[in-house]
Amino acid sequence: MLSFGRPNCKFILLCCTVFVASASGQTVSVASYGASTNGTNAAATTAAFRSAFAAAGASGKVLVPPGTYAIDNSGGPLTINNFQGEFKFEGRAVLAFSSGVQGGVLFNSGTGLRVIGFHSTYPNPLSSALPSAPSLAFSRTSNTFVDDAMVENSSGPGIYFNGSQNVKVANVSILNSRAQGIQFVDSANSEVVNATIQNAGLEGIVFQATSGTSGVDGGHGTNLTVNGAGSRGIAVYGQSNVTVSGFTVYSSDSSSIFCGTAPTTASPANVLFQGGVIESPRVFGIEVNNAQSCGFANIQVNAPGDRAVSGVAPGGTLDFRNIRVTGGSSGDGFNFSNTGTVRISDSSAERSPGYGFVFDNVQSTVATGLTTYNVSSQNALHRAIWFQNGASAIAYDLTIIDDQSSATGFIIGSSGVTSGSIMNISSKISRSALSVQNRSAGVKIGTIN
Amino acid sequence: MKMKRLTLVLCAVFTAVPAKLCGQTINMVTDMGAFNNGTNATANTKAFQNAFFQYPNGKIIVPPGNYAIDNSQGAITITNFNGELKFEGSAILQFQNNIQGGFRFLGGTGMRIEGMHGNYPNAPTQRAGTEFSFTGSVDAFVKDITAENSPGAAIMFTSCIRPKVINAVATNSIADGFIFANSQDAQLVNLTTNHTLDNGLALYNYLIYDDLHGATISNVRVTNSYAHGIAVVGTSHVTISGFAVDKTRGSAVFIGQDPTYQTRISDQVTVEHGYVRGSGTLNPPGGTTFGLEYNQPVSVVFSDIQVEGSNGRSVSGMGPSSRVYVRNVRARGNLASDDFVFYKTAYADVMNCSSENSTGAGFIFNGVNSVVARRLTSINSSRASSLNRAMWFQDNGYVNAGGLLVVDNQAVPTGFIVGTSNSPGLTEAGSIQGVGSGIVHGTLRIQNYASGTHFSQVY
Repeated sequence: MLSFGRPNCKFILLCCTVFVASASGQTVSVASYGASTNGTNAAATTAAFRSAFAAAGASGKVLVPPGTYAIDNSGGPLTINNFQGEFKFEGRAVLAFSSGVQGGVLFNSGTGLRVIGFHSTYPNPLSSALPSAPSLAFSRTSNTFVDDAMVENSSGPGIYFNGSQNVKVANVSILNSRAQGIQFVDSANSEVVNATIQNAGLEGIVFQATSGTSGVDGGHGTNLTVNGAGSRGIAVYGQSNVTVSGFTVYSSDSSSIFCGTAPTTASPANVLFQGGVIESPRVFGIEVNNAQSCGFANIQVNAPGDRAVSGVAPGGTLDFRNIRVTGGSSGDGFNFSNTGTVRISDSSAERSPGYGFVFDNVQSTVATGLTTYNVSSQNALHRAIWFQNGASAIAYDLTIIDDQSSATGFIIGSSGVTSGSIMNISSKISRSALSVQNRSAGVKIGTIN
Repeated sequence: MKMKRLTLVLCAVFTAVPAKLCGQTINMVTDMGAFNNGTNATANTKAFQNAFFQYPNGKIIVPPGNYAIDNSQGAITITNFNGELKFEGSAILQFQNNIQGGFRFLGGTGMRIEGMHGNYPNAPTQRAGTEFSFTGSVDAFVKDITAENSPGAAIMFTSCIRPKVINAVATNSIADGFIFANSQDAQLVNLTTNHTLDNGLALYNYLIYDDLHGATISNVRVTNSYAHGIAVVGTSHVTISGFAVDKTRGSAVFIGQDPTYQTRISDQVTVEHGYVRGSGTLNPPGGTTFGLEYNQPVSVVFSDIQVEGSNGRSVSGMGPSSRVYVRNVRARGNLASDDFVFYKTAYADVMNCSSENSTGAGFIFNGVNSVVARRLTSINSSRASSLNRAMWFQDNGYVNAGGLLVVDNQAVPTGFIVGTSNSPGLTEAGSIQGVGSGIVHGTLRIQNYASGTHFSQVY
């Protein structure tokens, strides 16, 4: 082809078109199909993307060279069916979606598709969330890999999976999404690594499973940063077997991390959050609401707007290990109510405005190694650790410390608990004395040091 | 032939073709005058500089080969690059001057760099420039980066926002292998460093720069670090999960403050799921040689970590304002010292930890305002200490300890004493409840010399 030797770009593009169109599974560039790289000609550019995918074939590679691409999504997202190849953005290549009320790109079905370097924005996003309009969506895809994505100013979720399986999202930043940052709905074995969600309008990261949908369990998140979510930071709604490891959640408008049931979702089981820092949520730091089983380990919660840890799981089992909470503007350090079993160990509440720990109507409480420090600062009852209205409470190794000039948290006790024992209580109350109040006939309190 | 290459070749031949139409913002440095055969350092440097200058939003491809880079005037500075830089195959930068830095990225938003590989063919002999540095970049994403023989730090991010790095390798650097300095919400997965004369992985927050912090890091492997294996110095809100540090000169994991370098003080650092071996075993000896060390941090967590063969204390630190939480840390085969030592610390909360075959004492709490110690086990401790202390509490403000298990199955037991003491004028208050022992050829001995501490349930 070189021998033709005509310096004519149209000719070259024509050759390229013919060349790639001659077989499926080719590498093609959207530039070869008339896409404008300067953010104009939305109709032609959108058509070029469609043509490029058609020419590449199901297993081909579609390249997006550097530039800004106006995408006309007024009639709905740019939809690609059954693609299992690679969609690769090169240099700084950005899709600009014209309509703020529709999704951006939607992949339907397809196994093994890879989206690399995706970058998009909405020049005219809505001012409020439109959860039905994700920037980058996948429906019923499998073995999908999204690497190195930047999604800005999305009206809907930044990246959204529905009914997919074995999907992996790595190295992504979702900035200023009006709705969720990354949302996995009814998707099995979802994975997200190295993700930053900045200023999402709703939740930062969501693992969600609809009630009655089978085989949609399994999720894993590593190295997640959610800053300034308009709702919860990281939420597991109904999805089971989800592990989140290594996270920071700052300044979420609702609870920082959540495990439980939302309207229409299942109740999650075997969910684990570990290794994280939570700072300044408007509401709770860690919230469980109607989960079958959920565990938390090695998490620090600072300055929550309400309870640092709040657990409600009727019939469920909650595990907490090495959770440290400090400060806050109101609420208890740890508050568990209406729950089947709570197992908590090696955890501490420091300067909590309300109780340090309260177990209310927990059927079985097993608590070891709890420490309070200067708690109940806004609570006239002065309770540091309190058990009430459960079937059984077993507690061992409880330490109450208060070194304030006027002690606020120095009472440990129980009321209305059917049976149990509270043992090995130690205290250091600098300017008052430990007060043990046992109002449960079936509970023994022993060994006070 | 792939279409991409076709376009590039055609466009290269027909230079009259408008660049934009041909997508010429995708560029091979070899088409811009770079030689990939290790020659022409000056031309190569110009070619790279031109590529970055002309195509700040483009894609720059570095095809396989050796690229000599003339960095004699200082690191090659790349300002406000927002595009993509892709190294292919064996492509490697050979920095000719072994004092100056290599590539220095300044600013830029959303840059993506893949496969970048650098080397200094003339191995540096003195500490100097940084091989790959990123300063003030926003949303930089770096993948598969390798830096060899750096005269300074191998890979360094300073004042960056949301830098993301996956798969980084640093070998034979004269300074740190990998460092995030004063960066916000950094993320790093899969780091390998080997033979670094300063820290393997470092997170620093210097007073002179803005107080940016936050990092989540996973899968770190450090071997042969001549300073710390992992150092978090002044940076707050850091979680490091999954790591192995093998052979260091200084403490394998160090969390805190470094007054020499005028840093801030770290707060809320969690280090979990890891393995540390041979801290303090590299020569020449110098500085602290602990397995896990804290120094003045506000709060730090060590959880689920195995410490083996430490040539110094296995876990230790001090910090009059520090709150230290240690969970599930297992120390074995300490070579030279006590295993767990908490010294002049505000609050030490140590649970489910074990000391096995320690040279000195198993656990020492000395000058801690509040001690919470539960479920600690010492096995054959104090092997070379005539004090025979398994666990010792000294000059603490308040002690709440329980579930202490002392095991010694040696023919001549060495670690069988649990006790307390206080210096004149100091009172150690508290309770130690539940001490169990299994001294096969001897008996547990309690030495309670502290005036205010009460022992109970000793078996």
